[in-house]
Amino acid sequence: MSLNENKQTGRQMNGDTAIPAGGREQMIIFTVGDQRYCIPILSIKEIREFEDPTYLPHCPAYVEGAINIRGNIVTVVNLANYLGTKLEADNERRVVIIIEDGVSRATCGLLVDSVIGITEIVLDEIQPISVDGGAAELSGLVSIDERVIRILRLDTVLARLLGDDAISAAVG
Amino acid sequence: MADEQKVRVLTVDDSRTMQGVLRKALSEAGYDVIQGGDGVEGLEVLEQADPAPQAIITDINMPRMDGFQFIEAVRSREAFARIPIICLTTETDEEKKSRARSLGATGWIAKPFNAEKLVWAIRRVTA
Amino acid sequence: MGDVMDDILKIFFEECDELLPELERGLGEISEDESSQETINAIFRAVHSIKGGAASFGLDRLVRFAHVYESALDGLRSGQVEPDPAIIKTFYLAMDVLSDLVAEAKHTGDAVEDSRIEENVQKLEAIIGREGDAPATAEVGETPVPEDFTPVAVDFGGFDFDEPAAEPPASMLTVKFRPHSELYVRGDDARNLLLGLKELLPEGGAEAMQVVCETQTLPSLVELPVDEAHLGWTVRLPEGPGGTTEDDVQAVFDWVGDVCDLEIVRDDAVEPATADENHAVEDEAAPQEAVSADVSDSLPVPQDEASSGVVEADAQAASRPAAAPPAKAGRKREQNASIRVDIGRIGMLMDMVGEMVIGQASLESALTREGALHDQELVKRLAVIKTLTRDIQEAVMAIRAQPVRHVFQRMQRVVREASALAGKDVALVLEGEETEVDRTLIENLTDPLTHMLRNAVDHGIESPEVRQAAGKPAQGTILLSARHRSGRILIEIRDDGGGINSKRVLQTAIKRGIVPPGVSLGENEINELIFAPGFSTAETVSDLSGRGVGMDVVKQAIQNLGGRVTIKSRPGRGTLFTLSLPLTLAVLDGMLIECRGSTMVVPVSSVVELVTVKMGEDVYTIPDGSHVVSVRGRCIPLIYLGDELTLPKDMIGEEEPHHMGRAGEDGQMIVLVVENEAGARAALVVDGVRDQAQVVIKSIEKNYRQIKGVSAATILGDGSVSLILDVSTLIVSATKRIDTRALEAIAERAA
Repeated sequence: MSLNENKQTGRQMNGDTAIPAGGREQMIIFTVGDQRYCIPILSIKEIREFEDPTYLPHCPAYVEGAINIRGNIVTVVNLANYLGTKLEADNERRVVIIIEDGVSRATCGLLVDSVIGITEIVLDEIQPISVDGGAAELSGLVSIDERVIRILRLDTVLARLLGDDAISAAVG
Repeated sequence: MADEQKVRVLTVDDSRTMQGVLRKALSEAGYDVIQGGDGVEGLEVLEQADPAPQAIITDINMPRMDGFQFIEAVRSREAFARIPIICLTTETDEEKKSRARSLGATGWIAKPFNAEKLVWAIRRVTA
Repeated sequence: MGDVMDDILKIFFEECDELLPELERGLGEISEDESSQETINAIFRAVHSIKGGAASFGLDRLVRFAHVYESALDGLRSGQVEPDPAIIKTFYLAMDVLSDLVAEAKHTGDAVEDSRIEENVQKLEAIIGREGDAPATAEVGETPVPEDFTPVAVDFGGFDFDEPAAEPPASMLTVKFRPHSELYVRGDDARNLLLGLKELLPEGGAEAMQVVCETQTLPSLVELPVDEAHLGWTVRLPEGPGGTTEDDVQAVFDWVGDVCDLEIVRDDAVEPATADENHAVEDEAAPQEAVSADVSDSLPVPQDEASSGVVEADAQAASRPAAAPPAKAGRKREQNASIRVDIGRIGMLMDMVGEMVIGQASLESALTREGALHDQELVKRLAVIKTLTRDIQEAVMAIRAQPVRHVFQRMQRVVREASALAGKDVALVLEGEETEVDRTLIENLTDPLTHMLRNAVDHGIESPEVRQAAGKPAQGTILLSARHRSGRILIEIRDDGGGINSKRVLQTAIKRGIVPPGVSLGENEINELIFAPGFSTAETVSDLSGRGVGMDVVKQAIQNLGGRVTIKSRPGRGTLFTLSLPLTLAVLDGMLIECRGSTMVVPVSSVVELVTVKMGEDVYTIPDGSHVVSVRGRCIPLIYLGDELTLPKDMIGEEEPHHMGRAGEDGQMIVLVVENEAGARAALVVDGVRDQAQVVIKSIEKNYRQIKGVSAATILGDGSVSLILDVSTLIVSATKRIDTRALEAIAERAA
């Protein structure tokens, strides 16, 4: 995928959700497998129970399927597959977080194991992650109560869903 | 009319662009603007306007009822016979001007006009 | 403020989008001799409005061209120029330039070449020249100053006033004016003129103006004719710096030159305005009073009741309709009143109606599950809701419906340009432009129609020489028509050209490997071959219809709109393409099928038949390993839908040959025979057919990428998402060829 394009969408999304004053941002923390992740709370439209989605032909493994949200067809991403971990087995608490890009208005659902809560992070405390390490999915790490929380890049998720060439490799 | 703070002006033009330009220029100059999309609509707006406008700006070349017919129609109504009417037109042709005048137009503004010209003309008739 | 201007600019461009087609339509009527004065006025007005609007935004190139165009059209309007074909052609070409200049200003098009503008300007000026001595290009920036006005040079030098208002000015202007009754009839007033003069003075300098009202010609009240003006004014005001010039005074009286006696006298006398001076005026004019402070008081303010009454009477007299006939203006507006609505809002409404349809279906399915539909009362009420829902849906679709006129008229230009390029003379005749279709459909029709018309000009219509040799008129005709037929819209493109040369088409198809040599095909089947992919390649691609696009793409585009294309050709007589399209893209008649636990929708328009075949007897394997099925003696490639779409297999599904779908115990399979627009067929192996229903089309691509074999999605009664299959791409991707006739031949041999 084009890195430039990613940066751009990244900026748009952050531009829409970041709160520059004081360099703090409200994040929602959730778990996928044994890891904790967070995303800006302002990008979230709703959180709903997992329901069986409709399978999408030729989809990559991390696409769970499509669901109907008030008449819109929304794709659900299995974050565990996306991030290369495993979902908890027989998890009753798993939910779908519906996010929306402030600029493109593209929407998708993230299937996660559980939502833990909301926190406010200090933007200066975010430790960057080198993209060389293969972590284009994450924009950084932040420590809260001595636990490392990974910040998920939503623009990457959406860019992949909307289709870019790197995906074809992932199509099993 | 006395209690109206702003001077009310009716503009009649079939071009929505011109209507936009007129509305902007006049409302920025502190006028209360009401509008009609051609002569027929202009008359309707005029008849329903309360209070009645203190001046009318009209285009000449319009579908359905052109500016000449509109002027004639306004002048034929006793209640509006004395409202100043300014024609808005790119026609510089004297024949058209005098036709408009003979039908009862008070004055004219040549297009393209700027806000200043427009406001000058309105002030000229609504002092 | 910039925003407001931007908004108005947007309005301007929207308006251009409306005016240009109007211009085109008008020119079309003129060229067909159907024009009335109203048509000519309308086209003049269109260009005039574009020019006027453009001037407000300083779009100089557009203004300049529109101005010349307008001047040329004015000759037509005034009847000085007769519209002959050459002139109409010039107007058409100028319209194209105008349209491109609008696109240029809008930044949606390339900059128009100066040479092209120049060339068209010259042609237009040649038309203007015929009008006689009318000026070719008047000034664009006209001013309200009358042409006959000569400015007076005023020497400002040498004077230096510290306080011009207080000091006596060097010279005074005496302005004497006497309005005629007509001035009042025109809604003007002497007061306006006095105030206009007052405004000429610098701030705070109003005292320097002296106003005297002349009432000596005022008859006594009893003799007063009610509709005559009897008052005159003499105004003295300082001239020069800080004062005013004769030009300024003229400007104030600009509008009333013909209804007001005006005399401007410049006293070079340096004499200040003294009481003596006043007396002098008084003597000759018998002034009622002289006022210098507030001009409003300079009206003949009543000194007694009588004179007040006089002025009022005068005013009222003037306000009486002079002799104006009770104009036709009195009639009420007859046209349908309309409002402008943002298309987004209608889209929203449409979506909500879609939701309602789904909601109602889900209510019905829930009630069915509960067994509640035995309750007659409930069934009746549900039926009422269903009727209402359908009515609302139709009403909303009617809102989105638009006449095809706009698209059709754009085709005039397409044909014009194509025939110029091909050196052919072709007239496009439009019919049924008022036929209404959903606007989304209209937007998507432009490209296929453009291509088909270019094709008709390029391949359909013969050159003038060939036509004449065949005893036809040199000018070819293409008829583009639209009409409604049984819930669909039929669009026909009929040319009077040479028809399809089926022998050559067949040769080409064989050469390109679309059909095997020696195949025997009927005339119609051969004609259909022009829609096969790979048919139009380099050799047939000309400048015109080529552009790397073949008729297969056209057919595909039409099919994507849920439509079909058929073709009829009569050698030597012409070709007829018929497009049959749904009225809307918002809903679709679908067949709900089951496959590996998923419910999917196949557009009914693609379905040929549903058959049960025996695996052992009807299915053959051809040498490349793929399967065909024989249905009514025709071999059709078999598509295992579940595999093709990579549908996950049911966990509980028993082990069976995966490619066989889920055959019944007796070795039978249900296949849905579908057909793409090229007439290629395939048999989809499905588990069953559930229902037939009208479904609301929802985009997948808004939140996801395009899926091969799937065109869109819909939402079923139970709220779940169901995919709408794209039969064409399914067939292509499954067989890797769109024309299956060759395959059939292979299959027949294999069998």
